[in-house]
Amino acid sequence: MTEARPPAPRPPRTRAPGYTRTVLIVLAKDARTELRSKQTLATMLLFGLVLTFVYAFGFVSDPATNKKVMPGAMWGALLFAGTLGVGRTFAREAEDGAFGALVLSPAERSAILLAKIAVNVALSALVMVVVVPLLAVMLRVDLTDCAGLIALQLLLGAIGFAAVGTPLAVMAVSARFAEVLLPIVVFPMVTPVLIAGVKGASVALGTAIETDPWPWLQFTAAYGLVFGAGGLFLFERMVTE
Amino acid sequence: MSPTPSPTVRTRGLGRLYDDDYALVGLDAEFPGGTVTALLGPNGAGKSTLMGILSTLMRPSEGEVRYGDVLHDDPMARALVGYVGHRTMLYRPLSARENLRFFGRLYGVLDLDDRVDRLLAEVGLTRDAERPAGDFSRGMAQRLTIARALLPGPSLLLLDEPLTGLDRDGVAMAVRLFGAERDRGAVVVMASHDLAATGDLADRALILRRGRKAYEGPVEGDLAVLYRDVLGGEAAA
Repeated sequence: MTEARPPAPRPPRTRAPGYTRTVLIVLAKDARTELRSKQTLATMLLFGLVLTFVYAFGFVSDPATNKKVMPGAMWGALLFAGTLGVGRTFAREAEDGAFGALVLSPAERSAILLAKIAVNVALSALVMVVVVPLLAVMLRVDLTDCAGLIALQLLLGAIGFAAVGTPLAVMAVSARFAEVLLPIVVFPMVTPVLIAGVKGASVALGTAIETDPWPWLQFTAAYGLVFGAGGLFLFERMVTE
Repeated sequence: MSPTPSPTVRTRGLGRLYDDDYALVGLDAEFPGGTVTALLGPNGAGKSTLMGILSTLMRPSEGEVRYGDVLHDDPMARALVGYVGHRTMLYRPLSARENLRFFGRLYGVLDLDDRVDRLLAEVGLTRDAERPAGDFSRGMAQRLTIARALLPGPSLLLLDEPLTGLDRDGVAMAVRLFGAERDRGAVVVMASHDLAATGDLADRALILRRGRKAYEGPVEGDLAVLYRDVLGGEAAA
């Protein structure tokens, strides 16, 4: 006798999320996983603090020299801590292949990338909030007069860095030796941001010949914008084998 | 009223090249709505490549895939597919419920809480719903993976070794759920080395040999016998 089949299930009603909502969904998920594990933030922070102490004890000198060292120390910390963060962008997705399920969803893929860029910017910004004041104290550099400008430079730098590095971090999902490969690819590409950041901070601290920091700021912003737009445009192609 | 079958998925001249080797060559195949197709073949026959292409995670080197009127490279195609692959595709730090809620939001599933509760119950994970997926055994993770694939009510359900790690109850549960998807009208394609379980479900078979179609048609009688008849000595590979 043939067993009677149960009634077929009705499919759920669906309405694909819009662009902004997709960004928020992925952001919320990444925030939740990071708050739970604190792996990436703790690693970045620890690395930033180690660099701060190395710079402070290695370079501490007279106030004028310290002031000249400060921009390089800040941006070096952002570069190295940021690289750690970018390298772990898709670490959760790589663990059990969740990246496949993520890009298989009907959500706009560039919105997924935008959320990942935002996460990297937020992590870098959090690290700099701790590292920069600590560096200033240890190098005895007074940032009171230029704190806003320095913060804006670092924020734009973090955006530029994340815009360049985050799309490339997708390599970590599939490429072998991605941890080694990523810095080799990312470092040369973020060098212009680094130079602009160091120069801009030198101007802000009054240790450069120039007096106008805005061209450096504009360059950093434009770099982030161009690479960000390029990454968002190309991401679709990058995630399909 | 019987459910409307999902549109037939068709491949025409489908090929996929890895370096200099073809994993799939000139494949013409059809996967009608409301059927389960057993995708069979020895190791390296091209099953996972075909699954990857049908899922839209891979691009074909040649030929085309159509999901009804929707072409493979149309972003709309992704909304049609539910995929169980070799990996669980879950987030370890998130609980079972959080995993389903996250993917449900990305698919825009309405009445998401009800849907998640029902699927958790159907795969037998209600009591473990708040545990992180990373703490799950392979079998439990596979149950959650199946729930994730069924979550949006896909038109095309691709099952690449979906019974991996499942115990007897788990296999029975999976077979029942996949059968229900077929009855709903979905196109179900299943690649599994468990020919007995696959045979319980399959209406049709597509057998591949070295990237080419060796058989496409109905399953009448024992699937294992059909497989051996088509592939002969290669069937053991």
